Amino acid sequence: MAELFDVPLSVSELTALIKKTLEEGFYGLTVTGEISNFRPSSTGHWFFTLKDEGASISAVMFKGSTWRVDFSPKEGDRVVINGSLDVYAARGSYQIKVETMTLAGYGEILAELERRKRRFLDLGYFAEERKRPIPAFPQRLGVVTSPTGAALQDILTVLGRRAPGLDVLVLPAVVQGESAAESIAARIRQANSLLLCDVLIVSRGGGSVEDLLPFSDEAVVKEIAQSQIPIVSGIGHEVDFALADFAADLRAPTPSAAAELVSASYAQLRERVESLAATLRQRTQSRLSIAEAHLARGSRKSLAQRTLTLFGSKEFLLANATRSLTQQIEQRLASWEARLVLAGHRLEALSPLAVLERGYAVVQDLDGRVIASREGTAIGEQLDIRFIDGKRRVSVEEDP
Amino acid sequence: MSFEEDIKRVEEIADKLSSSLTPLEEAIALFEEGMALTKKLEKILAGAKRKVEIVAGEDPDSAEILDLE
Repeated sequence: MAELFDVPLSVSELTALIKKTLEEGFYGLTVTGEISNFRPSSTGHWFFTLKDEGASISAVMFKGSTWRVDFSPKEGDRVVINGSLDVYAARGSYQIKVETMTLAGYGEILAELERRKRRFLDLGYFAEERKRPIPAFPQRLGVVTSPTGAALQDILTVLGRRAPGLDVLVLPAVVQGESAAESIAARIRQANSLLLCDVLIVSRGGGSVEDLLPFSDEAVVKEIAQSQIPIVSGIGHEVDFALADFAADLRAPTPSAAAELVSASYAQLRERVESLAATLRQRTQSRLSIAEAHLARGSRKSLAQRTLTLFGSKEFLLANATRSLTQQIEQRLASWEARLVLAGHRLEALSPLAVLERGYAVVQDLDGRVIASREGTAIGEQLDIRFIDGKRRVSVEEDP
Repeated sequence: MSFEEDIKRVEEIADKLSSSLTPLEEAIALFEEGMALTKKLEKILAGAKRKVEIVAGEDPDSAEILDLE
């Protein structure tokens, strides 16, 4: 057999050839396999092995690509990746550099969801005309979700903040796996047959496309469409969708958002009441200021008397206010005089004479101009020093 | 009075307070009434304590309801 090369190769030369051959020959690959030995690094890159029954290959997915993956890969996940081969010369190893990764079967799931969606549309499950308005001020909210899931906690937290008086009834359901769809549907049915609440949130936290599938099941979608109780869906994260969303009377992107929508009117009302209270205070304050100005024209004595008569009775004390109107008015009267005295003090403080009184002096030239800098004088020049009680003429001798 | 009526009354009061035609003494009385109403409304909105309950059984025709929170 003829030698491939007629001169000996260094390891580096051989590796460079291998690198060139592999990297230029294996790119734009689509590979299916199972994830094993998944090691996300602290810097955000993912290292793992892609394998099947007969072989395995090292794989790396850099941070710049991982953020686009919409599920959390775990041991044993069957995935489809796109990428290219990458040779690491220093170690003589090769790996596959992954650009995109989806769960295997994802495409089929999407196609199936699309078929179902068309069928449900034909069946009228998504019909706009049968959608019911969400009550602005519900009395009792039903939540169909896992009693132990994060979704329920999120919902309770949001409601506790925005509508602390709204009663909540949890209708515990299995939200993942084979029995989930029937479990969720049964709870929606139960809420309706017993009229347990006046609005219903159907919810679960984020998960893979498969995890969310029960919420696209016909049993659930049909039950939502038929529900007499208005339903808000809050399923998965922003990017997720389930067919239940199309049947629901209102779709929220997340469980928290569903709780926010349900409590929107309560929250708005609270803001309205708060702003009304502020308006009342401010307008009364301004009325009082005007009244004060009118009263100030009268003598101090009559001013005090009239105001005290006006505000002296207990009825005019503000309930629970830290300072009553009476106190405010009395303080204002007291401050009227104080303000005059204070104004006098301020005028005095501004006068240059007050500064001189404290022991400072002003240097002026013979024309009376103030000399504020050493550079404004020359040796031998004559200057006037102005003290609080008069002037003295001096001559500049030398630098100290 | 209902919640909505209470709010309407407070708004009415706010309007009257901004009018210089309202005598001062009346303005003070209105202010008091308005503050009492907003306190009451705030209490209903923020002070009420909700009940959090959970349905125990799976029977669609009768549900046992237990306290959760």
